[in-house]
Amino acid sequence: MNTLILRTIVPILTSLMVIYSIIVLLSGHNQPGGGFIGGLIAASAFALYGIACGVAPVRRALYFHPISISGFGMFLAALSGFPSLYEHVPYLTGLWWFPEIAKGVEVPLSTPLIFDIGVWLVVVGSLVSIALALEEKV
Amino acid sequence: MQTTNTEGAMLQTATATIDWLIIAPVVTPLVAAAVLIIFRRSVSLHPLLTLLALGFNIFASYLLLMRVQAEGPLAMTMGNWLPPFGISFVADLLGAILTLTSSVAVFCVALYGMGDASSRERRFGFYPLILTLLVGVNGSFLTGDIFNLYVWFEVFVISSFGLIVLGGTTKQLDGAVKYCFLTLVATTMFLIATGYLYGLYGTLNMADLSKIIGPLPFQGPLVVVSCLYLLAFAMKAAAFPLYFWLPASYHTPKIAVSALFAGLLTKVGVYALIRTFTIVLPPAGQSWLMEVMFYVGVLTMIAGALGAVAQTELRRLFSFLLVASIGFLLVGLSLGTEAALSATIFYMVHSILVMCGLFLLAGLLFSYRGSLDLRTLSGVNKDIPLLSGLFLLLVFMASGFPPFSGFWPKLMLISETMQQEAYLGTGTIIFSSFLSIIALGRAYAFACWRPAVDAAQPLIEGQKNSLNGFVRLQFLPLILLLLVATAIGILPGILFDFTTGGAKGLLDSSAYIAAVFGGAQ
Amino acid sequence: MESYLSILVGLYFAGSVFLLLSQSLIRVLIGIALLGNAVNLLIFTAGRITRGVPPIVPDGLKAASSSIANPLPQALILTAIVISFALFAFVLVLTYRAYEATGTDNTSKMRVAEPTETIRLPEGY
Repeated sequence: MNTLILRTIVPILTSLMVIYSIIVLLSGHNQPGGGFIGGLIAASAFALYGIACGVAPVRRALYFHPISISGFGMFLAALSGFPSLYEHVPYLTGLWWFPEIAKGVEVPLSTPLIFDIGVWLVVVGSLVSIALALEEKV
Repeated sequence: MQTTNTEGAMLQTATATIDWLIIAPVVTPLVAAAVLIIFRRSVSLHPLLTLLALGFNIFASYLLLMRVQAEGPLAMTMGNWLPPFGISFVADLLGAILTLTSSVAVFCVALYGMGDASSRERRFGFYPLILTLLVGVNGSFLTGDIFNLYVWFEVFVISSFGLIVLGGTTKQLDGAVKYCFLTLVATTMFLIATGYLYGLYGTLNMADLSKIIGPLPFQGPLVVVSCLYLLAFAMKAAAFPLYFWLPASYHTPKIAVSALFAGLLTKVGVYALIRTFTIVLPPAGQSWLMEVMFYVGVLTMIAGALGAVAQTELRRLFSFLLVASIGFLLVGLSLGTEAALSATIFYMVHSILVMCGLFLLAGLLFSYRGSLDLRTLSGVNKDIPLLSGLFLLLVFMASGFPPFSGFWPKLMLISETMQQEAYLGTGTIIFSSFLSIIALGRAYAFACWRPAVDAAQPLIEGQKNSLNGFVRLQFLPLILLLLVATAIGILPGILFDFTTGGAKGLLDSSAYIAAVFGGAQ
Repeated sequence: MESYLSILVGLYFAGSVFLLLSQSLIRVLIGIALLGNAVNLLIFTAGRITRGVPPIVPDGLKAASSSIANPLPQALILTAIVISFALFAFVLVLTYRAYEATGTDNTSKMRVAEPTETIRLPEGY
């Protein structure tokens, strides 16, 4: 697997896949996509990087331990329900903000987005840790 | 800040902050587990944070119980969607009592784990896993949606998988294989039944199902679904003849883990049976299926008690006693009257505390004596009188002697079986209690009164001293559990108020349904 | 269409039960995987089948204009797939480790946790 062609193309491919996974993540909620699918794409990107360049560079690139990443995702997802507390609506109710960043340009931000980012992190963290553990053995 | 414009599909009533108590027993351990996973390397932080979260959890569950007692069932529908579509969390008395009890049990196990779990095991996730286990268990007790119940089942099942192999000895792996495969089949059965239920009625909200199924006769596909639920939950609860996985696996993991499993996991199976056959599928609760469950319960009691008498390993003996206690719960549920259900809930609380205590006691015996085999375990009374005393207390509690917590529900259920003319049940309860007394009494006599036998390996002096600090600390959770159980035994009236209310709520689901749909009407 | 799928579900279940009853853990594992798929197909069939209309609300509308496929069974199946994938991955590794530790994948020979020899308690002391 560790051929020159793969080693050359994989860094570019990985970065493209991660960018694409973030696009999928952000387009979720009202269009097909979301944290789970996005997370799967990003996790396969890191798994591919691991196949081509070895496990150690992936761990260095991630900086945090994958399990910690998924723990943070869980934390974020659980926390995304708490803004509802101040709005007197039940846990995990979707709340939206539309801040204007420039004249006439509104960015829709919401608690479902925070939840989705949490899911994205959980999926990336847990799948990458499984994939890296398997790749280390081979 | 604004909510999106979806008036038709969303609840319009405001949610009081106090209503967040409904989800506090689930969210608190979830957040704590997430924090522990983020800081997985700072293992010294783990026990402290866990105990803090669990302490808060006990407090929140207590407040929830008080509120439910005062105001009837409470509901919160996630995401503010209208009830049959959004996932509802409903706290009724049954759920609130069990949430409080399981939080107490997990607190004691976490305290015990301070001296028992090595830093390696902590790094592999002992504390996060017991927290996620509690998330799953509490989620199961509080959810009002049957598919969501399946998801919570899987949450605690996957945590239990992680816990049962923690340590990774050959014996553990062997036990874990049996536990994991059987659990997988049981939860798949649960999923099949849920799939059918959705296909039949087009909803999975328990209150909605109760409204739809309540007037229906017990025939056709409903019978199939009910049988599947009975099979799936009986497997998880370890009822006859599906209990063989339990004594094959519960003695293999770390003792703190065994205690947690014995206290909580089978009870969630029984809880699910109670919930499905009273609230969700009311016609099934008054059908011949209850007769089947009655005989299953009787056989479970006999099989468990006989198995306990035959065992020489202390933890396997306790596992069989656990099986016998499940039989008692099934008989109580199958009678289906208010008194019987009340006794069942009472006995569940008692069984969670005492089973947890028995296994923690086994852990203490092991840390002093290095063996749990009754052929060599001996001389405890002379060397460690405190431990011997606690053992005796637990023997009394587990076999249901008068001033202790096991006595009252047994008395109630015996009188109820006589009133219902289910004399087979009366006889079996007495017979099985009698066998339990023999098994436990003999174990106590061999372990404590018998002078130390030659084959026993008393701990070497240095090892004993190095253990001492931890071992003294480890007495604390056991004493705490026993204090709670004794308090229940001496003042049973307090708990009876709750269990009778819980049983009433199960038999008349109108308050439950009103709580879920209250905001929508 | 539903009746064909029902027959297929039945075949899936038959195959998985046959494999689950085997003594070899590998076969049991395959049986578990098959069982998971059987259940997913069952939920899919039980949720009624609608052809070709994805449950996506078009831009600018608050609800779908025509009848759409029921998205709930698909959501249930997605959840079930994710869960069974996680559990299956765990059981797979567990089986491998148990095979390494006990040296056998035959369930009747895995008796470490439950030794077969009869042990007698001393009758007194």
